[in-house]
Amino acid sequence: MTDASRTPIGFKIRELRKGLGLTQAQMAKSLEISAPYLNLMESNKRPVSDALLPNMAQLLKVDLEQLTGTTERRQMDDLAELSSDVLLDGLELEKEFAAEVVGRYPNWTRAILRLGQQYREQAQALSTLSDRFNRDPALGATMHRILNHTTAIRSSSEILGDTVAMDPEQRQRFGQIVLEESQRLSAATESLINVMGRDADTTSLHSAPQQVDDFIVHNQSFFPALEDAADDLRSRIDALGSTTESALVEFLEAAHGISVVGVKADSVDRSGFRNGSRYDEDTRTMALLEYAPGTTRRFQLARLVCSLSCPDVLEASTITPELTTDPARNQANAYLASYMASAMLFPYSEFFQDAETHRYDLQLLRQRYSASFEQVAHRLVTLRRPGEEGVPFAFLRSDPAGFVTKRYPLPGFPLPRYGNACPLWAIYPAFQTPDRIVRQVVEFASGDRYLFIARTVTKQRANFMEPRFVHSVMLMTSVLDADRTVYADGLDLDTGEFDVPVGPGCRLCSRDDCSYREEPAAVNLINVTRDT
Amino acid sequence: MNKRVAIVEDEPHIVESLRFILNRAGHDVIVADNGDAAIEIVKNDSPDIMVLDIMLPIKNGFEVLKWIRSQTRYRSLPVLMLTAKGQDKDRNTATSLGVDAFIAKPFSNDEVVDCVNRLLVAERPGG
Repeated sequence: MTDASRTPIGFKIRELRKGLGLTQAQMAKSLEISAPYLNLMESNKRPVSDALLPNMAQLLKVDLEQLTGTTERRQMDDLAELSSDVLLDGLELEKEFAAEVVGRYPNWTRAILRLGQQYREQAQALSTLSDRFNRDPALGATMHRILNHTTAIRSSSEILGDTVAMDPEQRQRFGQIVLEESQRLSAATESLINVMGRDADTTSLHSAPQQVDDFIVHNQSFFPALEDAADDLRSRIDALGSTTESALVEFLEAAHGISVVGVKADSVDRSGFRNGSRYDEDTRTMALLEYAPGTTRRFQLARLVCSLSCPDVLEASTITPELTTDPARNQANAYLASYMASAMLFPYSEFFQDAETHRYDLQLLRQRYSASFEQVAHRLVTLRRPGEEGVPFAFLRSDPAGFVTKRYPLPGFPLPRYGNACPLWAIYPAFQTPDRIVRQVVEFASGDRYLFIARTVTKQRANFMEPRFVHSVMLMTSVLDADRTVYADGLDLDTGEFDVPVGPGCRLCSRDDCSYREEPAAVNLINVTRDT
Repeated sequence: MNKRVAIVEDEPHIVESLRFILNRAGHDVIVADNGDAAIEIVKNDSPDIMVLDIMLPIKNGFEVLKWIRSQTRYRSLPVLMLTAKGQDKDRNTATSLGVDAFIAKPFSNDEVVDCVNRLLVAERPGG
C-alpha cells in the first residue's frame, strides 16, 4: 500500500482547514472541486487523489509529506501490531475508531504507541531475565558458588556456636573458614550483581532497533547529505583509479594512515572478524579475510573510508528526534556508514538509470557493479531521491531459524517488528533452493498484493570444518510497481488467480483456513490497517 | 561400633565441617572429592552410608548414584544427597535413580547428622 490515497488523512485535512479558519466551501473553491466531494474526503469516505495533494498542501500551509501521512501510515501499522497482542484479546477494537485516533488525535496515538513500546520492552526484559535465570551458565555457576560459600559459613558457624569443649586450634580453624568463605561470598555476590547488570544493558538495547526503524522510515530510506558526501569522496578516490579494492586501500593509507593487511584461511588469528573484516583503531590496521569474497572486502573498505573521512556528516545525521538513546544512535551510525559506502560504490543517478534500463535485474546489476546480491538489493531500497525515484522496495533478511537479522521497512508494508513473519513468504522457501531466486505474487487478506523476490546468500567458509552460514534476503514491492521489474515477467499480476494467500504473521492474519497457523488471529485488528 | 560415612564433596571447607560434625556424632569419615574417587571408595572402603554432592568433577553425583544402584554388591548402600534449595528437577532425577534422602544446601549440621543416623538404622528395600 504505497500510494498516499490509501492513508486516512481526511481528519487531518479537516483539522488543518479549521485551524486556518477556512470553510469547506472556501477550500473546495480554491481547489476547484465541489464542497460535498471535499466533505467525503475529509470523512475518509473518498481517497484524496495525487493530483490534488500539492495544491491542498500549499493551501493548508504544510509540507506535502506532512499531509500525505507517512507518519500516520507507520502509526497505523504500529497500532495494528500493538493491538494484536494477546493482552488485548477480546476487546473488539473497531477499525473506524483506530483510524480516527490516528487521524484526529495524534498526541493520543503517540501516547498509546509509547506505552505499547514500553510494555513490549519490559516484556522482552522479563523474558531475557527469565532466560538468564533458567539457562545462563554464568548465573548458574555463580549461584552454585554462593550456595557453597553460604553452606560452609553456616556449618562452621554452628560448630563454633554449639561446641563448648573445643580445641583452641580447631576453634581458630573454623573461625578462619568463616572469614575466608565470607570474603568469597562477597566476591561471588559482586559477580552476581555484574551478571544481572548485563541485563540492564541488554534491556536498554531493545528499543534501539525500533528507533532505527523509525529513523529509516521517517527519512524514507534516503539520506541526501550522505549521497552528496559519498559523491565527493568518490571523486577523490577516482583520481586513484575508480573505487577498486586497491584504490580504496591506497586511499586509506594516504588519507588516514591505515595499514590494510590480509589474513589467510589457515591463520590462527581469525577472531573478532565481522563481515570479513576487523578494524583496530589503536594500531590503525584494517585486517581483511583473504578468502572473503572481493565484493565483501571492497564494501568493508569503502565503509571504513566513509567512517573515517566523514564522521561529522554521519554523526550529524543521527541527531534527530527518532533516536533518543546512545545505543540507538550508535546503531543508526553503523547503518549510515553502510548506507554511505553503498552510495559511494553505486553512484545514485548512474545506478538508478541502470536499474530502470535493466528493469531491476539484480543479477545483471551485480555483474555491472561487481557487487553481491545483498549489496545491490540494499542499494535498490535507497533509490528514493525525489525526481529519480526507483521502485519502492522493502527489504528483509532472515537466518535459517527464521530470525529476522535485517529489515528496511516500507511505509504501509506490514513487516513484523516482533516475532517471525508469515512462513509462506518467499524468504523462507528460498532456503529450499539455495542461490536461486524465488518469485512470488502474494495477496494479503485485505486484498493488498505484492511481488516478493527472495534468494539465499552464503558466507564464504575458511575450511571444510567451519559451519556453512546461509541467510535469505527478500525484496518486496507492490504489484502496482512490479511490472517495472524483470521479476514480474510471466507472472499473473492482473487476475490474482495464482497469488499465494499470505498474512503479515499469524497474530495479524485473518486467514482461518491456513494450515501454517500457530497462534490465534486478532482479526479485527488487521482490518484496521488494511481497509482504511 | 563406629559407622563409616563416605563424604563426596569437592568444597574443602564443607568437607571439614561435615567431617567434624560426623566425627563428633561418633562416625568415621572417608572423603572423595570427585565422582571417580567416590566409586573407588565404594569398592575399596565399604562405607556404611554416603553423603553425596551433585556438582562434582569427573563424574557428577547422579552418575555416581546410578553406578551404585547398578551394582548388585553395592546397591543397598544408603545415599543422602546434597541438593540446592528449590531444584525440583535435581530431586526428581535423584529420586528416579534411587536416592534415600535429600538435604538442601545451605544445611544445618543437626539436620545432616539426624538424617545420617536415621538412614543408618533404617532397613533399605532390597538391602
